[in-house]
Amino acid sequence: MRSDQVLKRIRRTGWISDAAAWPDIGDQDLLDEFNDRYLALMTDEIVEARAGFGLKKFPIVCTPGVARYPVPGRTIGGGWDALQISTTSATTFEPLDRIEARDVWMYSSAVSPGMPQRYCVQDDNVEIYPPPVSSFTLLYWYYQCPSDLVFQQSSTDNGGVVRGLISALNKTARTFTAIIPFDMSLVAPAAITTAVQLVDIVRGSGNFPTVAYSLTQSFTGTAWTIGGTQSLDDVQNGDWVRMVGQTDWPMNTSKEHHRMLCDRAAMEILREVGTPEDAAALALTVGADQQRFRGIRRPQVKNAPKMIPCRSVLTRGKRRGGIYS
Amino acid sequence: MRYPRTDIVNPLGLVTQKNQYGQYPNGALRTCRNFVARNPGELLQAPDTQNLINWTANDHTLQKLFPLDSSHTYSFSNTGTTWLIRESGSATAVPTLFTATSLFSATGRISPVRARERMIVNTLKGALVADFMAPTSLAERTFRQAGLPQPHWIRTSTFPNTTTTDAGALSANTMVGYAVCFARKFADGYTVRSAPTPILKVNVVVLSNYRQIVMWNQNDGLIAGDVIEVYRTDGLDTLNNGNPMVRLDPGQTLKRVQSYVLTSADIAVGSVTLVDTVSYELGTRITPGTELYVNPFQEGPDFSNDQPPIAACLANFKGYTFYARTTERPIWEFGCPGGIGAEVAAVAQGLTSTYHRAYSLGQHGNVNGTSTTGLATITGVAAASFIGLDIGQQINTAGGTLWPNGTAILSLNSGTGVITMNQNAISGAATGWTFDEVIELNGTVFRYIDLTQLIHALGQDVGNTLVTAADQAKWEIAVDSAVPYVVQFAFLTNPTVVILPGRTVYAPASFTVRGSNGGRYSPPIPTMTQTAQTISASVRKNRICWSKFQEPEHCPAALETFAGFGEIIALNATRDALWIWCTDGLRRMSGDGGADGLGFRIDDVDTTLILSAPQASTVFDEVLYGYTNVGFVSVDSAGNKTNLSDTVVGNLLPGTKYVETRSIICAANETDSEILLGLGEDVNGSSDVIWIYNVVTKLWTQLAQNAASLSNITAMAMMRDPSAGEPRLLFGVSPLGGGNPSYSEWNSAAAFLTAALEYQPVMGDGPLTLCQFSWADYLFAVATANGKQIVPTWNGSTHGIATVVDMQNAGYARGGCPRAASRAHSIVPGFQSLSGTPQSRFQGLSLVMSGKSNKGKKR
Repeated sequence: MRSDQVLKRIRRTGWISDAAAWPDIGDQDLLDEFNDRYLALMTDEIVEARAGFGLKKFPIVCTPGVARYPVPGRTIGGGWDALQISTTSATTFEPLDRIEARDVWMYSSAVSPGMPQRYCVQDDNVEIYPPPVSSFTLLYWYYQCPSDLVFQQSSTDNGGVVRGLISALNKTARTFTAIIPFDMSLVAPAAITTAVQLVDIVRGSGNFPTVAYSLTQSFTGTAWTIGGTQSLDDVQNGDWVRMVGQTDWPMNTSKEHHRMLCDRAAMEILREVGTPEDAAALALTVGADQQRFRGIRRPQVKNAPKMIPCRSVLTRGKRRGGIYS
Repeated sequence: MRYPRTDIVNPLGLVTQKNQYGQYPNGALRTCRNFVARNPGELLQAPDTQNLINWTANDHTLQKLFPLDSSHTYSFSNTGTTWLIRESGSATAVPTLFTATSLFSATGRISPVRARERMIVNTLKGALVADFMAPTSLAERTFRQAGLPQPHWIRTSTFPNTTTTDAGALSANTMVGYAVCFARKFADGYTVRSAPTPILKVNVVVLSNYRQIVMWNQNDGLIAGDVIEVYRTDGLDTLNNGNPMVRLDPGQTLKRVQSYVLTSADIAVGSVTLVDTVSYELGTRITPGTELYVNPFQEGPDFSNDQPPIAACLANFKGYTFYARTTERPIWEFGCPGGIGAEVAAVAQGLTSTYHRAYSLGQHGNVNGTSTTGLATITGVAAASFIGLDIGQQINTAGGTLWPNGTAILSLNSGTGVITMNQNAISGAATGWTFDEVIELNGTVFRYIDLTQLIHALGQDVGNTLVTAADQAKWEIAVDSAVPYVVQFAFLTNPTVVILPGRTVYAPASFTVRGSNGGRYSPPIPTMTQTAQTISASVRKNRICWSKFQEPEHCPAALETFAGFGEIIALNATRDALWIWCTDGLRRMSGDGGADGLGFRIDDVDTTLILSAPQASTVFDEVLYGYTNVGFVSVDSAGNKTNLSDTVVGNLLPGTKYVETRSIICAANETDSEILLGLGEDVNGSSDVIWIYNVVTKLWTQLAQNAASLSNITAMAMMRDPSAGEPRLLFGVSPLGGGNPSYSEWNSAAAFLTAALEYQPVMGDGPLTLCQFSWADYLFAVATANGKQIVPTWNGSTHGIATVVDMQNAGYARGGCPRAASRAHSIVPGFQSLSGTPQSRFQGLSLVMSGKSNKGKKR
């Protein structure tokens, strides 16, 4: 469901169909409500379900002797999934074991660089132990925070203008052709600038994922060149290049659940305009839809990252179980 | 879902005054712009104007509109003292002396009426008449002065014994009286007849036909086809009734002996000589013929057809045309204690020359002396002959052979016996000279021998070529009842004489007078060597006079009365009353005039109710409406007053004291039962806001904030006979500032104004309970606003655009309440920009809110 279609549904459900009659509940206000509720709902559902929707991997080359590396900035809070390391090449990765901060002392002091075995998440960083002795490649696995839904530029419907449709894709040369998209977060949306903003490449179907993200770019006219080394394997002709963090469709959610999200946003509108009775009535529908949504997602849960607590040396041998027991 | 907290607020029109509980009634509107309240329970988008008539007259102010037939409309506009009368888009013409300068009142006193299919309009110089209700040419758009002037009647120079070759119609030794009047009969049968001249008694010595010369002024407005009617009394036997002739009385019963139709040639000359050839009935001295209308047992002498006075207000009532706040022509009334007449006539009637010389006015004779060719002196005059001579008196010039005509005394020296004239003698002579008395009126010198010749002199000063045509025959003269007839060549003892301008236009404000032997008049007047005395017009602010029945241009002296003690502001007529707005209250004239036109009475209705301005009142449906010192009121025929603004819009229409201004205007839209009021709040005294009171729904609305064709409004009038369609109101606008005036028709086309309204604060649940207002649904009659976009307003600020959508039974538009105003104790909903066609009918507003106590209350 495109963002203009989302807006229509929010207005209809919120009894504010005539946008002109509700000038202080503008489209951006509705999108803000939608995004806020979407984030609140979907991060919960994604992280809890860990069903792979929105799961991203991000490679980073270690610096020998340096143990601390930042977590990718678009990770959902609590959406950290796993860390892997490649010892010989960037194609075969071995998992690192996560340890708790209380156990770090066992691995971090007076340890010479070597082959990292474990890691600990500290704030928005990970520390690997022991520090890498060589330029190994670390591979982050994390649940990506959904991009903001912005007013669409993928259709001429409802005042839209088509921009950013990828064609003539050359993954090797990392080039494609597309009309320059706008940064829709601006009060007066304007075209992005070559070699300035990062871009995402999003898909306008399925679960509406981000197939490549936070890419550096340059373009001349409609001829684009993508920088960096991030794989473009998932990118297809027909995908859309967008300002980083922006999308035309509710990300990582299939179309059948979009209406639920619209209704959830409409509940906020109904409450704001002073008709809590309507909001309460709509909450019943939204609640039921949310249950169904969960019902669909939860059975797909494979395995949550296994928490293997690291026992304190002071208590070693006094507890049963665990690999160190 | 049911919303128990919904208010339905039907529009009540403007209600700006709080009730006693400090709140407004539900549905009260704070603003209601460009709506009309013609249907119960809904407001209609007000019509726009069309058919604009404008003209190039920079900075003119359109002061008055007066629609006639088939959309023909007279308009009166001015810039400063310069006035312009237009008929629709065409020019008009007024009589010569009605110059465009200061012709009309600029303070709302232009008060035209339609009577006998004519328009009569008051000016500062007298009433004007337009004879065509749908004029098509300049000739038909040419005004004339109301009524006809009294003719100036004059004898022939060889009077009285002029004999023609005819056998003669009048028996010898009889006395008859003559009077003359003008008459004009229009193609539609309407007739205007003048007041008759004073009766002139003629002593017929021998069998004769008698000639009269009838004179008029070149500015009297006579036209070819006008009729001079000559009336004559029965004859009186002079042989058997004794002398003196002055005592004989042929009576006042005059009969028409001749009707002469004036020709264009007559008009060019300015006079005509008529010959009476009607004989007595055989064997009698009875004059046959139709009686004059002022004869005894006819209408009487007090009912002569005087021309309408200068008046500030006009109205028609019960078939009479009323003229109020009149200005009477300046009148000079004097007596002659020593008598007036020629010395020879006085002696013939038994007085002495000594008496005449000492006390009398008139021709002084037998002044023996010698003139010398080429000199201005008469010498050898006896001291006794100087008595009665005065500077300015004119000498008998022997037909201009001895002295130039008009030669007058320059100085007198009885010690040396020399009279010095102001011109030299043409031919010397030693003889008994005669000197004629003179009076000077408004700077023009007239000479006279006796009262009869004074009449003649005022008509045409025989032998005095200094009197121009424009000054001839412009004065009326009358003699009091003690000497009811002016007798040819008679010496009259102490008559009372009245002289006044023949028409109002000749001297509306004042004239000056002085004369030789000024001290012999009573009261005395200045002599010819002194500064002339000014005789002023008499402004009778509380006087009201009226015409004869169905004769709007005939205003006899008998039909007058007074209303109160102040000033009459305006007249309004309803079926049973003529309402007289005075500065000391409202009065009602009632009655139907009776048989003689005197059957009216005036009653006080409200001695403290004062109209705010001359044009601040109107009449509709037999009810009087006016903006007054206490607000906007209605008064029914019984005199019951209702204040229509108090407690509703009384704070905005509180009433004002009387002001002599054109700015406050009031008119009735008779088609839609509306009274319209403009207060002239704009800087140039025009109105950008017109208040509308619907007398059926009793609701107030406004026209405001409109384009040029409907702003700067200075005149309103109901056009009852448009060339097509229903009667409609006219708006006259005067933008000034280099703009041109114009007027246009309201309510006649499928075009409508941009409307807006605001409710008074709507309480959510009482004045102290906080609510959240959600939105307003604006309700319109179905198929009247579908697709229109309105701009909702909340607390006076615009917010968004709401589109009207027709449902099955109504049109709805929804406007969301802005966050800034939504949580409050009260809110002011409204909308703007309702425009376009068709005419939208706003029926109410549903205001949705939460937080109100759920009492099931439904308003």
